[in-house]
Amino acid sequence: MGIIISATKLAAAGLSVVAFVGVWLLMKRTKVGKALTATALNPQGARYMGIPTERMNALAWGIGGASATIAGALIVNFWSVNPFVGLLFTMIAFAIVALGGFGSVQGAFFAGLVVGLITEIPGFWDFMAYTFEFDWMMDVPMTSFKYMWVYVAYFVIMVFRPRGLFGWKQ
Amino acid sequence: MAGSVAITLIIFPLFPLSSFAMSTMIQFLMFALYGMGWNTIGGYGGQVDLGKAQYVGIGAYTTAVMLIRWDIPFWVSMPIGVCFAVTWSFIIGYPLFRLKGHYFAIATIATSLVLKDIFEVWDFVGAARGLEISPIKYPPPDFLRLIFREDIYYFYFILGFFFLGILYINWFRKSRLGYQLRSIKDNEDMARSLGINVHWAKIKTYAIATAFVSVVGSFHACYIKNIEPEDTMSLDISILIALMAMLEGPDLCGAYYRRGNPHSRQELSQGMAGGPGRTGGHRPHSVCNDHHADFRL
Repeated sequence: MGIIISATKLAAAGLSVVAFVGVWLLMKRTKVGKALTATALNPQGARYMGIPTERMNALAWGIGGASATIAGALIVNFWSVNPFVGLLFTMIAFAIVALGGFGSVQGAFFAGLVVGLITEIPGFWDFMAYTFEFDWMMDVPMTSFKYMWVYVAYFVIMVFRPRGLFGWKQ
Repeated sequence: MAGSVAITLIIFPLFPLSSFAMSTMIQFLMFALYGMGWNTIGGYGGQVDLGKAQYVGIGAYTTAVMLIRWDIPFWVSMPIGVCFAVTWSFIIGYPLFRLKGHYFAIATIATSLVLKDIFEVWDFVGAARGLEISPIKYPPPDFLRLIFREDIYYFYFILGFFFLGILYINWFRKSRLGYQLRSIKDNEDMARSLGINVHWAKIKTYAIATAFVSVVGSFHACYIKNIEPEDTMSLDISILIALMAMLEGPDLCGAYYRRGNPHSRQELSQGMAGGPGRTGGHRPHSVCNDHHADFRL
């Protein structure tokens, strides 16, 4: 018995935590991060305070693209990629951000863990089915619903708690 | 102006044209109807809905399943499909319309994808393989089941739906609900303070939009004759519908000018690539697969 984790996955996890800490530091500990937050909360007010909001929007766009690129570079080691792979990750990213709360970096971190678990739990269904030989469990292809639970979670969160777990009050 | 356009559409098959032009015209009219449906909620109501493909799927699957399993003709299964779609739209519309803006748009995508995932593993509706209506079983022309060999029949049927749709929308925009919707779009809080039941008005309009899309979905099943979740319910279709309605703005007059542009381009690319043209029995049933490039630019 033992847990086998491939080195690439471990490295991907470690590097993404590093990237997370980087974004968190940028948002919480620098002036640029404060300006970004101010722009998101109240663009007009931020402009009156002398923050170049247009530039902040562009910067936020760039940071978003950069983080997604890091994730893509890390995931390609153990995931098959094709030009149309993006939609799945777009939806998962939306779900994660909605769960964690729009505008919250640490929320996205925890929500990412939760969504990762949601996608992996259906695997236990097959495990149970084949270990205990429950026929009715084998009939339900739960692993096909892997990502459906993410969308369901997104829907439920959006409807019952639109701010997410750590989000700002609207 | 409108009259001349109508007459041109009616006598369109008289012009010397290729089968490609004909199928493009049918797709054009289908997407015009999709866009009209989207326009009620997205244009007049200002609620950006990116989940219309699920209703295309419900309509198409209802017609196809009923035809294949129980031999129920189109004219019966189409209203039943509309009923299913509208019921589903009420079920998800009630919680969804508590959301606003982007939250609403993304939540509609989520419901659409959930439904697609369910249809992809549901054996009763053919799972991921989809369903195929065999044209040999029903000798064409079959006016009850809407199975024809020549596109001209399909053209006149969809043209009929198109004119009915235009008449309905023309009435709708001047109806009580239409004015309520426009006031909701302008200022929701103001509309509520004037005594409009905002939530209920949105749900009703959503049902109307759903009915439009579902009818065309049923037609789509009879026209394409080969439906699968990836083609009828994918997010690309939703985006295509929303995009085409957005291109000309929330106005009825624009509703049939720019429509069909992306689609004809896609068909053209398919024709150039030697893809399945109209001449063989197979229609270009992958309505969207060549479109990824358009969206991800």
